Amino acid sequence: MRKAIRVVAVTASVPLVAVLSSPAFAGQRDDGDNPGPGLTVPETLLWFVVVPGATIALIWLVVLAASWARAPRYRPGLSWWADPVWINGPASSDVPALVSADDAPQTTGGGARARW
Amino acid sequence: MPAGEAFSDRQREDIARAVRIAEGDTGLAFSVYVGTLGDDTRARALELHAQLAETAARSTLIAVDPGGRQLEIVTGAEARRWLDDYACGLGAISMTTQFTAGDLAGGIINGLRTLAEHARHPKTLHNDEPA
Repeated sequence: MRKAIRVVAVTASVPLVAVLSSPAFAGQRDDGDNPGPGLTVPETLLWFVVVPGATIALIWLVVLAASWARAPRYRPGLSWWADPVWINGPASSDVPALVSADDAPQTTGGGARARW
Repeated sequence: MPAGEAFSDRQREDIARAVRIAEGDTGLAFSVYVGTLGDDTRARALELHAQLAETAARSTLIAVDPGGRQLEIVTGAEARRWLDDYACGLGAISMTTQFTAGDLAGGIINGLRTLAEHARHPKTLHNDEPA
């Protein structure tokens, strides 16, 4: 709680000081300045809200479009979505059989297993 | 997750090429299955291995269950002569390392390379068919 108050006090005090002191600078004109006509409220909104917002949205879309174009990627921990795939499965191997199906057991239980 | 293909065409082709290279290097058969293996993954993997029928004895099946995060390698009776369980364990490690990072195809390809590296053996006229 004390920490939260401290954080709020510090974060609030900096802009507060800046806001309080800004009118002091507004009245004085700097040498060589040349202010144009002021912006109306809709113009201000257009240039400082709509245009930056549209730019951010555009970049966001471009980044997302790239991932939409790709097929869904495997992410460990999420459920599996695809149909089973069997590469070089039954009847597609080019390697000729040396041992016929009736001979000795096909496997002696060799191999390995792992989790990830 | 939407239903779809596990691999892009290019990934599939890469895995198929790795299988061909491993088979060429070792004279053994390799098969890669990616799909659900159910609760008893070992039993299911053995079942799949048996489906390889006449090539089963000289086949090594790599069965990957991405949903269950389970990998099973089954070697046939003949394949086990060249590819012992220790080598399969090393292959399994190289695969799961990449699976953890979400790279299924890359893991399978690297695993095939590791297995082929260990299963490589000199061709002998009286044991191997003439090329």
